[in-house]
Amino acid sequence: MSGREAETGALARFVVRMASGMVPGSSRREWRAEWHGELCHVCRTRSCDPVRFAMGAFPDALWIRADGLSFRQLIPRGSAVRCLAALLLLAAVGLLLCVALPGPRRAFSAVRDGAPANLVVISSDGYAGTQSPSISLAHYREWRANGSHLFRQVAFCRPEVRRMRLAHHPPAEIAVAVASENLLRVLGFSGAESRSGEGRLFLSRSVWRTQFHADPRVIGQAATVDGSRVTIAGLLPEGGWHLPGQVQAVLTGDGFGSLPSTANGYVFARLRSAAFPKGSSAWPSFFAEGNNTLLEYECIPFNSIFEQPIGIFLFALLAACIALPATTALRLGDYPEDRGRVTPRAGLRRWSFLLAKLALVVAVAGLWSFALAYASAAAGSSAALYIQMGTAFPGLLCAFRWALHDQRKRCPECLRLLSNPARVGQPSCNFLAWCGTEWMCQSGHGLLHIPELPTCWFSTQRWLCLDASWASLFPSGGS
Amino acid sequence: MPAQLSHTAAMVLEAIQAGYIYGFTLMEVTGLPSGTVYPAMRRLERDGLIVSKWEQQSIADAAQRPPRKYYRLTKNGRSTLDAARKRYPLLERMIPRSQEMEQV
Repeated sequence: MSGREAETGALARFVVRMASGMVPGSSRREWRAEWHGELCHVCRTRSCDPVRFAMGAFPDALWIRADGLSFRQLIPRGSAVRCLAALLLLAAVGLLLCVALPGPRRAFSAVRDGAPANLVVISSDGYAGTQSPSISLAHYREWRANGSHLFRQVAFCRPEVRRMRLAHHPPAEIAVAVASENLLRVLGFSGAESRSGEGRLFLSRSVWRTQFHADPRVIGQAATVDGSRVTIAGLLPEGGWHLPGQVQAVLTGDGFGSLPSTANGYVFARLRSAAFPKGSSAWPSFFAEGNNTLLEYECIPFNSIFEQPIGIFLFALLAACIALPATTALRLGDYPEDRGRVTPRAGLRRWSFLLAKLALVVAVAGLWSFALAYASAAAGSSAALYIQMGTAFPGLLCAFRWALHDQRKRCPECLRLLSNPARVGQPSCNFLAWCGTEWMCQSGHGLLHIPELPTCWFSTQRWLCLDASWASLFPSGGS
Repeated sequence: MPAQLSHTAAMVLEAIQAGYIYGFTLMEVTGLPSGTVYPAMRRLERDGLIVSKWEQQSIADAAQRPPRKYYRLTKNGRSTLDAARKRYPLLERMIPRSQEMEQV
């Protein structure tokens, strides 16, 4: 047997062993022996892939587990599995929203795809300069003429709302980026080169779908934009990062030539790496003359603009972790592991459940806040970041509080939610006694005592294990 | 009255009747994946249409492998299969006969 076959066989045996965890203990040994016998035969005859064969052990084990049981019996109400399944479902819906809604999808793909590393937006006002046009056309022209030692290429665009008319289609007002001829080349859109002089319009796919019903014949047709004749030259690539200002089309050629030199817009550039050595975490910057003074201009990488959601979410996560102890107690209660029946294995399962729950609530809060933020504001905009922060932080804080609260209300042995609360004691008779609420595990594993008035002898909730003599009182046996 | 079988269960029953008595050989002859064949066999066994038995240890030792579990039709299983053949007339033609039964 070759090394690879031995590895495959070992992996297949591991898969069967994993699946055997789902089989009830009474029939597990025989079930495993049957699968082991068949697996050995498969490995010997090499008539099919052993791992593929072994994967069938999961449905088989699940069938044995579920045989004769309804869904409610298989996953009882209040069980840990049901809790994790509900969280997983919420996370899946959040992911679906991020993928299905157009705004979150664009922002999601921008985060995923990234932009060329040396592509920057030049701003005189830090990050705020990427939100509104701030560089004059005169500066752009000067940098284009004299900035070749800093930039490989520089492009300019100014977003404007213009009225577009096309034969057989109703006129529409769209946000057009009036741009220099090299804008699309600087942004890295191949095959969208513009020829000088001719007015050429590149439509975004969303406008093409909504205004022109995805009609392929509009490409190449002549149209008018604010009375000037242009040719619809093509479509802008879908997905990935995009221009600031929710631009719906890019106009190059004659339209750009008619802009006054005082018109403000965005300047995009491809940096020369030699001019801005790496090593510093700050954005690269340079000084240039503006308004008779020497101004500092920062080169903000496109990547950092569209990776902001990750940074914002991590910040919200950190803030929620810091704020959590101020809003709720972090102690989970006293669980005597050396006495009673709370085994170390059950303790490990309990902590694993808490960690899984925390990981899932982080995912749920992250995906939902992202979907809400980018469904209501454009990718790269400050508004989206504020909305994301405003939803992620309270969401995470509430989710963490809930996770801890839920953990405290579960049996440490079977992880089911406790039930049958009963009041115990009186506040007026509290000396060396306690008053509060007693919760019960439906399987008879124990009782949880939560003090109403914490005292030095009863400061936090306490778990009381019930021994086997109580088992007859509980229908599920208490084992 | 014999129980009505799904086509998959009927195929598995027919294959066992034809002499394919181990889980993997059932997979091979029916073309069904292991995740379908084994649960189907469990269901048939629960309904009393087939019974399982472990291979003799001496046979497994001689072949230098762990013993395998094999399956046989019960009387109830045979009558159910007859009913299934009327419902699925091509069933018998889909599964060729095997001589494996004689070796057990």
